[in-house]
Amino acid sequence: MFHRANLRNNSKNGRSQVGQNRNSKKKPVAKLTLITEDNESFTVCKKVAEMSMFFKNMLQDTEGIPAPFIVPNVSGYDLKKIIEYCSYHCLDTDCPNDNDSLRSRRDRKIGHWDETFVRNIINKDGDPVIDNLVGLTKAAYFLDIPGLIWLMTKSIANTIDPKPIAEIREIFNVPVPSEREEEILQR
Amino acid sequence: MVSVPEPPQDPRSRRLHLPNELLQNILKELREYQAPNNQSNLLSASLVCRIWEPSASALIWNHVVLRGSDALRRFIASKHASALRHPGVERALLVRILELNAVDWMNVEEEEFVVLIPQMETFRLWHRGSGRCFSGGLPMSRMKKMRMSWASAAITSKRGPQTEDPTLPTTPPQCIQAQVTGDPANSTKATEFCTLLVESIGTPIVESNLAGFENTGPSLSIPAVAEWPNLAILNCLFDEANSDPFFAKLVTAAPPLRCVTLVGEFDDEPSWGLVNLLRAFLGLLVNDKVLAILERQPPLTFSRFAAYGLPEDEASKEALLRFFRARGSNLQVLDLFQVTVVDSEVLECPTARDIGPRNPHCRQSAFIPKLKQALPNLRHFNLSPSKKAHFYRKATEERYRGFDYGTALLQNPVQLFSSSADFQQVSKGWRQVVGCWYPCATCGNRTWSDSEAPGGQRGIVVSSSLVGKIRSEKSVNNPMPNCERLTEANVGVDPHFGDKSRYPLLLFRLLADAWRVPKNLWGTRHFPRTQCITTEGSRKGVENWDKPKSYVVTQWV
Repeated sequence: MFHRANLRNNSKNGRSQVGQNRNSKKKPVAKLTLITEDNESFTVCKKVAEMSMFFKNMLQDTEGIPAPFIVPNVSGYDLKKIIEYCSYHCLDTDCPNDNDSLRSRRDRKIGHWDETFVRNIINKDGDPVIDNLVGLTKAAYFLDIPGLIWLMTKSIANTIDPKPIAEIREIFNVPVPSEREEEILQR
Repeated sequence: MVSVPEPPQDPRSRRLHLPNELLQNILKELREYQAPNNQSNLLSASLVCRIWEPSASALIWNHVVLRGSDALRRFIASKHASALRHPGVERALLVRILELNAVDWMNVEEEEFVVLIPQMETFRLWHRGSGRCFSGGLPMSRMKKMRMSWASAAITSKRGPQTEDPTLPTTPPQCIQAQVTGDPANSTKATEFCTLLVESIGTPIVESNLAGFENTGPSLSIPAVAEWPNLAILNCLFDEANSDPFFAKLVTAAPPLRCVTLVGEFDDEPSWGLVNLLRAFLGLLVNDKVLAILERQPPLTFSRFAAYGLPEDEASKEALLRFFRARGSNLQVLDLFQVTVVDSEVLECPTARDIGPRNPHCRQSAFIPKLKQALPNLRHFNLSPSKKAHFYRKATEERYRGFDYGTALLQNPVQLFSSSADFQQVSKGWRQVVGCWYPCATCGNRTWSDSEAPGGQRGIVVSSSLVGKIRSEKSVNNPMPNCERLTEANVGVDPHFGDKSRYPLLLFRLLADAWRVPKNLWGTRHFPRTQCITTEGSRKGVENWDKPKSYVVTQWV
């Protein structure tokens, strides 16, 4: 794990942890302090953190609230969005957060809140949308939050669905390959 | 198994680099956006870059349909090409379902083809012209299916796997399923093909639905089916010309048959196959050695003798009689649909007599306790009258009385097949009641919701009026109010209604709308869950179902 003292997204939009701190002061419940790789710190309820299998397992292993935990591979922005998602969905019993129920409900549609959530990522000025989507997906993957992974992959698929190859390459910043892959489609 | 190139070094590209699993998830979602036979978006994705290609290819090549021998040749050629170009990444390894025409494989080298097969999970083979139907109006499509399963254990390998390729799996994959659909004229090829599969994979076929032995086709060699080891389930359409040697062979080979379905073909002409088989069993009885072999096999538990126009002669009766005596003691399912030869004498064999089909008046319903005594394991019993009786004769009090008898005397029956009119008279002792699909004159326009839910709380009845509603596809407003009390549904479909297979799918949708909390969902093996969830619309219906506890696919065996 590594820390970056200066954060690449630090200049953006004054994002802060005010919301999280406000929430965290209301009830004397078990809290967990998280520090991202870009040195932003967040305090979250245990219940919210347990939406992530990563934290859940960690909390089970340590049997208690550890000291401020340094979350590698996750930026402050991503963690903020993740906490936003988890705070909402930890109370939402309809939204499955385990792989089995996600798999069994393949026709699941994106809920209204989730839609707004994704739209807010898209509306983030500055960075191209896909960067945030992918970053958040990877963070969710790292923290193992099945519901969010599903939402993110669905959103990314949504983004690239009707687009031609060149545009997908542009979105994902993939250089045009010199040797073109050849596909023979039989169907 | 697929080597992934290093992530790109450009910072932004690096940031956008997705782990393989996430990429696969995204591509799977992408696939959902398009029709099953249109993969243009996946194709685009596969051409984006070398990192994306393996994940996309795995999805693209998952299910390949080949039409024509050219396509098959091209497929094999491309397999070679890709093997040369990307060593270690075999296209064929990505294919999980391959569909092709039965005739086509004859035109390519066997060895090449055999190499492909062990790598696939599912294999479907289509015959040309399978849409053909026979003049008798019998829905042939279902019977034309040949379905096989391989167990994982390799047993007989005459030829052995044709390949020494180390990249291929060394053990055969578990539960390969092969479906061969075709008209009987091509069944020789199909059976030869299956034999080839058996020899190349070396695993036994345990189930076969044979499209049978048709005298309109070319002169058929005796299918090797009878020699397949571990043949446990045989669904067979037979006719006079070829059945004798086949059954003789079957008896000699004595595969561990558990389930035999024999269906005659023509409505008017007599079919002898059943008689032949029974004669064969008759022959067994006198041969102690073969009988000893039979004794070691699992007993028959399922018997569906749907024979159209079985000759009403002494030989048939005698054969049935012998059959019951020899193999009937463990029967759990006895389906004598449209068997007109059954009369009191035959059913007296297990000291039972006068089953409805022959005599719809059921004058002597007392046969039932005797039948029960003779067949202690009987749980499923078809009391459907013959088709003609069903259409032209009114349900009589005698028949109802017959059902009352059955209810009272059959101990704990699980399932009763009957026509919809009779459900009104079925008492609640039956745990499950399954209706027939065809409309009947006797029940008229009575809708099922008009009456109390028959069969107690555990049945689902499909009446003709419901079928009518299903046909109209507009009945979404809870057509079955009484269903709320139900806890289980068996939407088993009589195999004789094979070409109406969309009705049960529609029924699923109706059930999903009407009945939110099912505990169990049953289907016969003619109606597996996979079928209902892969069909658009019905899948939605099932998925909307609140917490279905289980999807039991009744195997009947």
